[in-house]
This record gives sequence, C-alpha cells and structure tokens, in this order.
Amino acid sequence: MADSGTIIRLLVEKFPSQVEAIELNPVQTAVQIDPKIVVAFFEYIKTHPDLKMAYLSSISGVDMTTNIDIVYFISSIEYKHKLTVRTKVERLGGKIDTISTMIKGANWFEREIWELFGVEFVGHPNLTQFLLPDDWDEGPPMLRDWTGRNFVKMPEIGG
Amino acid sequence: MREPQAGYTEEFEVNMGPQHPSTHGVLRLLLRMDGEIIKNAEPHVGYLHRAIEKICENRTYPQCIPLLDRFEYVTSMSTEEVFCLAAERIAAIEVPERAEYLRVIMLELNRIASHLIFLGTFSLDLGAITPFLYCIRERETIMDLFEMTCGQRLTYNYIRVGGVSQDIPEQFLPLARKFVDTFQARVDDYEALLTENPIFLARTKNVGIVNKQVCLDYGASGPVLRAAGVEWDLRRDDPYSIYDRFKFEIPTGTVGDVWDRYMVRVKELRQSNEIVRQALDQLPTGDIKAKMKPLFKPPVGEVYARIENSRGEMGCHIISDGSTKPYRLKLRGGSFCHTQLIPEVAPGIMIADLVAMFASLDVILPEVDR
Amino acid sequence: MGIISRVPIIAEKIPGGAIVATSLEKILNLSRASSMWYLLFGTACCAIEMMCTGASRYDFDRFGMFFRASPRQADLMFVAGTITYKMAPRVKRLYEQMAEPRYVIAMGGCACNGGPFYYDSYAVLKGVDLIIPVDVYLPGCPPRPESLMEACIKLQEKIKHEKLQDWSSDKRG
Repeated sequence: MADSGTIIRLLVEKFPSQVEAIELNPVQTAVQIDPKIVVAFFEYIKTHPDLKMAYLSSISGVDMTTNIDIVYFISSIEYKHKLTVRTKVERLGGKIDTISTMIKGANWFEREIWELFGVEFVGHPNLTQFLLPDDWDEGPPMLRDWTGRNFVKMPEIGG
Repeated sequence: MREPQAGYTEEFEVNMGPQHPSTHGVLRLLLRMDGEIIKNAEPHVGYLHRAIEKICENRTYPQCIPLLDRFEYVTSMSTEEVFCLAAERIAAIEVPERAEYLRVIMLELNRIASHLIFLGTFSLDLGAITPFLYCIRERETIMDLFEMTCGQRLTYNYIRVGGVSQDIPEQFLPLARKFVDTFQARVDDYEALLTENPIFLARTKNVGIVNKQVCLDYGASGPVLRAAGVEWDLRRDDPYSIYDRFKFEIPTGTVGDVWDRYMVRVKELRQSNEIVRQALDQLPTGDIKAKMKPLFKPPVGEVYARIENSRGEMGCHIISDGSTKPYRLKLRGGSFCHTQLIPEVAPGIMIADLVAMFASLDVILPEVDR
Repeated sequence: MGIISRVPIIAEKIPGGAIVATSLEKILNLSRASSMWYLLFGTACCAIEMMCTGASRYDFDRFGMFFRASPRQADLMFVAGTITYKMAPRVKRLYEQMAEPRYVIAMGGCACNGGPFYYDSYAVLKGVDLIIPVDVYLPGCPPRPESLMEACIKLQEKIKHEKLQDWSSDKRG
C-alpha cells in the first residue's frame, strides 16, 4: 500500500503544474487539479501499478458562490488507499469533461450534478431529466441563492 | 406435413410503473420487450426526491439527524452513525467506550432487521408468503429492543454527535441475550424453507449474473460485490468505530447470481448475531456521551466518511464553514450504484427473472433519490 | 345503483316500511366495512409500518383487510409516505382508477401536510388532500401499527353511518 506522501509525489511528477497537494481538516490525501486534465488524471491513477485506483465512491458538487467545486472520492480495492480530488468550474454555464466513459459508475453522479447545479459534462451519453419533475422550469435548485414558487423557508425561532 | 409459418412480431414498450408490488418503492422501469424477453430496461427515478440535502443546509447538526433517519429508514442507525462519524472527525471528538459498544450493538441489530426485511420481501416477490411472516416475527423482537431504548420503532434519533442519547434500560440485556441465543435456530428455519427448495433453486441459480468486472466498474458494494467474489468489507478494510475488537467472518460468493446474493446475506445474519453476542459480553460501564459544549460548532473542514451498511457503502460528505449548520451535506447510498446495474444485466432475460434479480439487489429508493 | 337510493323514498309511503330501509342500510354498511381491500401503495417509511401491520403480531386480516396490487380491485388506499410533485399526477390517476366506493386514509405526517419536509424543500407536495379527497387523517412519523388499526376502525365507523340516499353518488366529489 502506497502511503500518502508517495501518492502525491507520483501525481505531482506526472502533472507538474496542474496538480497540487492541499491540506484539509481532518488530515487526508487530497489534491486540487486543473479541470482540463481530468480525464488524463483518472486514466493515470487507474492504470499505474502502484496506485490502481478505479473504485469510485462519490462525486459531489458544492456551490462556493464564486464558482462550483466538484469533488471526487476514489479508492483502490487492491491497496486499500484512498484519494480526494477537487476541481473548480465556473458557476453559471461551467463545463468539464466526463469520466463516465472510463468509470461507468460516474454516469448518474454526473447527471445529478448537471441537473441540480447546472454544470455541463462534455461527452456524457445521457444528460436528461433525472430527479426533478419532467416540467421543471425554475433552474438548478441546489445553488445557494435559489428561490422558487413552492419554497417555504423555515422561520427563525427565538433569537 | 405443414411447415411452421414465420410469424410477424413487433417490439413493444411496457411500463413497470411507480406503483408496483415488486419495485420496492417508487421506481419506474421502462421495458422494451420482444415477447417475454427484455431488450432494454431503463430506470426512471426521482419520484421520492425530497431535497434532504437542501433542507440540511438550513438546520443545525443535531437537527439534521432526524431528517437523515428518513433518508434510509430501514437502517436508520447507519445513517446517523455515518453522519456523526463525519462530524466527529472534523471536530476531533473522541467517543467514550460504552457509547461505542452501544453503537455497535444497535448497528448490528439494525443490520439483522434489514436483512430480515430483505428475506421477507425477496421471497414475497418469488411467490412464497410464509418466510415473510416468519421474518417479521423476529423483527418485532428487535423493534421491541429499540423501542425500550429510544422510544421509536423505525426512525430512532438515537446516535448523536459525541455518543448516544440515552443509556439502555435494565430490561434490555436479558431480552437481547434471549434473542441472540434463539436466533441461530430461526435462521436454520428460514434456510430449511428456501435454500434447498427445487423451485427456489430453479428461479435463482445462474439468474441475473453480475460479475466482478461489472461490479467494480459501477462502484457496487456490500453484499452485491461480495457475491461476485470480491472480499471487501469496510468494517475490516477501512476500519471505523471499534470493529477491530470483534471476530467475524466475511462471507463471499463465487458467480454473482441471485442465489449467491441471497446466501451472502443469510450468512451475514449469523455473523451479525455473533458480533452482537461478543459486544454484549464485553460491554463496559462509563459515560455515554463525550463532554462537549451545548452548541456544536465544528472548525472549518471537509471530510468524506464511509461505513458498511446492509446495502453497501454509505458515505457522507460534509463541508463545514465553522458555523452551527453544515455548509454542504452530501449522502451516498449503496442503492444509487446498484440501480445503474439494471440496464447492464436486463437485456436477454425474462420479466420474472428481472423481478428476482431486482429483489436480490435490495434497493431502497430514498437512497437513490434523496 | 339508482334503485337502492330510491328505496327509502318508496319505503316511506308503505306503513312500517321505514324499518326495511334502515335494516337494509345497516346490512349493506356492515358488509362494506368488514371487508375493505387495500391497495399496496407506499412510498417511504410509513410503507414499512404498513407492511408490518399486515404481517405477524399486528394482523390486518382479522379486520377482513387484505392487500391487492391493482387499483381496480381495491376499496381503500393508504397514502403512506411523502408525495412529491413528480409523483402527484400518478397518485391522482391511481385514485381515479379505483372503483367506487373508495376511501383514502392519509397515513403519516407527510401525507397529512408535508411533515418534516414542509420547510425548505422544493419538491414535496404539502399534503395529499390538495389532490385527492381524504377520509381519515392519521398523524405520526411513522404512526405505530396500533394507530393505523385505530384509523381503520374510525373509517369503519364512518362507513357504518352512511345513508342509502347517497349510495349511488360519490358524495366526496
């Protein structure tokens, strides 16, 4: 099992200016990557003999008010190590390449982020209505400043 | 002698709609059929999308826990555990010993209850009604144990950040020991009804095979992955809580068909029973909650915690910005990835086999829709 | 069934005929109430409690209630679980497919008025009585099996007070 330092060293050596290690609380192996290399990055960590990370746990989208962050969690079954990968796209009309042709499990995760946050995944085979009703016309609802017709906000109780 | 005439056939679309006794919730399958054989099956989800993640952005951490109970209501203890694990990792809180043991006892009892529901509804889908009634009878004893501890039968609100909310009453231990001692014989009863039954074997052996490569590609986890032959259990491979103190085996299958998934879960029933017995033997005295400030305000941080649920890997991604409410809360359930397996496995099989295969995946729709 | 709703009017004119009308009313109401077949329809957590109520220990069969999978063969629909905007047209269609006389029990907080998902949710229908008429409201999250049986008994009492004049019309509109 490769430890955290080795993993980061291998990744930074392969993509020198587009991958950097970040520190999070609590301590975990995490990198920030440039969105343009996302397909090449996941190809590399899937096929490298010391990494072999092909087991995708989750992809989540986060609205950081200035841009949208996409966070991937991937781990390895053979070596039992794991990695957090963060990348940034624009808030309205952002685009990023899809990894669902390479890792099939990413299909529905990306579809959900497209529907709820409005990020387009270039090359995705099926970006259609998923969780929301078929006649939804009020925009991506998970953005922090979204309001809609039937949205009742909880009143502040006490002080 | 007359020759058989070639007939004219046409494909047609059938809707296995949101209300159906075998879809285990509100799932819509759009089937393209050629006679009895399925050509293509497309799942449509979203009929139970309640926007739990958006609601939780406006609730404090303790207020999120009852909502997360409703996210995965058959194993509510697991959802609370994964959320509290993530919050405790961000805030670096250490949970006292007695609370850890109580959590393990509740989690494993909940796993047994969930597998009993699986066994009941799986045999109901195949046409056998008796195992359902037997399994619910056992489950009622577990519901009694939960009710005397936290007052609720289904959505508990018991595991809190830093420990558990209440200690167990005195009647808990004798009833739990009685349950644990009689349960192995009950599992033998269920196996006597189903496992060697020729009709059951004909409907489940070599049906709905999901092999190892497909499982790993789609991120399948839990009994589905173990039935395909991969020995991966988060209680051992990505340890959390105090599972390293218990001895238990990890059952696996060989082929990945419906029968393997059924057998893996039946063996897990026995293993969970063993874990509960060992935990009851080792239960120490002490505090049930860590000393914390009344208002829980974790520092800035981000974590993804995952545990082994009865359906697979359950993950919780929390981003904290230093206030009393989580900035972003994302949940991931095992059923989300398993429902994606349907279009992969369905082509070429008959509807009755699709029903058996889908029941063996043990999918719960709120995990998919949230 | 217009004949039966005219029985009380005809019976009044015959001396002592009212007793025929009331006895007929009693027998017909009793037979309706003692054999309600419910539709297997549950979306969320309340569906598990409904299943448990129909199984061992709390048994629905002793009330004469048995589950049917098709709405054409059912008299009663438990709306058990949260109804979202995507699911609402399908619930209405299921209700319209049921044959009269048909009854609805709104089980659980979510079906009564939206439940814990009332605030801050963009996709939940705030109460199922916005789309179909409800006979009995049962609060709880989820309600205990004993509460569910109490709701069924209340519905049976409601049925036993129905009048013959209303036999042929769906008075709930």
